[in-house]
Amino acid sequence: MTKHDKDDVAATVDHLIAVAGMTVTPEERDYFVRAYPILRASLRHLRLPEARDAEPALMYPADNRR
Amino acid sequence: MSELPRTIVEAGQWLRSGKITAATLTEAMLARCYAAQERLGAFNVITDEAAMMAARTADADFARGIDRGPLMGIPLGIKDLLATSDAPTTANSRVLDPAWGQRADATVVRKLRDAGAVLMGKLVLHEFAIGWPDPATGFPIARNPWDPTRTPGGSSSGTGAAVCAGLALGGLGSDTGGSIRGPASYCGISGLKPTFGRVSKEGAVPLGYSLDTIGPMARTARDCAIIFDTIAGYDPADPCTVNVPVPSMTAGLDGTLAGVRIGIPRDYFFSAPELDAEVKAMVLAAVDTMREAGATVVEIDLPYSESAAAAQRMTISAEAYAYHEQGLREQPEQYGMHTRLRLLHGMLYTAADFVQAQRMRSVVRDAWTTAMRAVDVLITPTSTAIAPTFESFDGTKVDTTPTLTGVWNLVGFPALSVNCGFSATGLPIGMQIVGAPFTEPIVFRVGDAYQQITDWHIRVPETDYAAEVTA
Repeated sequence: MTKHDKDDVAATVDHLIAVAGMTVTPEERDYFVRAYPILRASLRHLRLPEARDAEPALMYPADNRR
Repeated sequence: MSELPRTIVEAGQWLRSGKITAATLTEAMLARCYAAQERLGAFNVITDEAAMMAARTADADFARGIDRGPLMGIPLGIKDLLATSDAPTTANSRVLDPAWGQRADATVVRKLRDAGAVLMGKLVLHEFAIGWPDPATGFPIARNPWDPTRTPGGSSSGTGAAVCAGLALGGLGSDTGGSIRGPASYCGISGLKPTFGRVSKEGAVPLGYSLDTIGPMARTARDCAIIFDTIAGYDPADPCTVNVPVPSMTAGLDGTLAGVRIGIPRDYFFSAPELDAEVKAMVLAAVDTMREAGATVVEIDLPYSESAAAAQRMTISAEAYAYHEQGLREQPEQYGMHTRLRLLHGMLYTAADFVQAQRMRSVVRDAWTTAMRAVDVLITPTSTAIAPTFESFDGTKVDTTPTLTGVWNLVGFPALSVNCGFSATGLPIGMQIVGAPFTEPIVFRVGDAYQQITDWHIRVPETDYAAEVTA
């Protein structure tokens, strides 16, 4: 990750914290700056082609009648 | 002199044979609770007066020939995020409004009382059932009876420690991503995360609305089945419960594995680099034991495991953040530092992320439901490793360590953790038995049958507070 990328991530995290109206400690802010790219990368697993036409399970009804 | 009974089944036999009274049993276990509290920190409050009253009621009923079932006179504990009429509910947090718990019993608690159980008190948890304990919050921190420098797991840490140490013969936990099964694994006891919708969560402080479950923890799978028989079922007060018949969980516990089809999902569950070699070996040895006892074992492909883990993390983050958003904004300093950090993750996701997680959830559920048609249960490790020390905790690893438990909350399948051995350092290792939705009877049957041919589950840590009772 380049310095430019890191600056972008830090700016994004600062923006998200501000929009949420949260107060965080400097240590928490630094943690989120480190964690944010990992978290976003993990979301690639949610955007598979198989889910393109899937209906969301917004309230999951466990069901044995399938 | 003799020791106290170690299981609900054994205690029931003692109570009905006159070997012990409920009052004597309760009194002795209360003494243990107080003796162990400083070392293990399992309880937020011990409700000794209410417990003794319930025990005397049970004895009076026994004397009159009234038997309300296998939980009558049995000392149990309740995770302190379930409302009880006789004690405050804290969720181990300074944030929860004390007025929240000033109400009648949660549905599951009421069912236990109606069955004659003796409720010993409110058990410690990780704050709001997430994160990691922070001493600064001022609440007790539960410790692992096998080694108090280690965690008993979380978030049902007090229930795990109490059952392991013999402070209660069973109890209730809650499980949103592994909070029953983790402590069961780390403490060497049994614990079931039920099918989502099988047990009412009315009266429980929420964490992840679409993932939360309430379930039993006890020394044996059979004891868990006994508790589950009492708490399971449709509840009009909980819109998530499903109105389907609840078969007996104990009727099918025949101690056999003949004809049972076991699936082993190698990918992800046995292949993660983070999976400790000793844990993997013990779980596979348990599978061999079950094969030798007559089970059929096949390897099974469960696609999308990484996606399931990501979707579960995303969902719990969003749902928990929604519940705590106001508190985090208005009184962040009142949350424990680890709890706050976990909850704040929710602000990093987008609305599209959440919906996409639910779409992926549909894909995973359909694929795994289809896969489960070829087997009766799946076997996996419960945790990737043995209980860590408090000192070694690293909150940053939560984002990258694969969850072997949370994926089952995502799809709503039932999963039971039972002890399948010990590490070279003497710490318990847990095995997870997973079934299709509403197949708890076969899950319990496999757990019970495994425990009939092994003795890992009856091993207990050495203690200096194990009160004895005059026979």
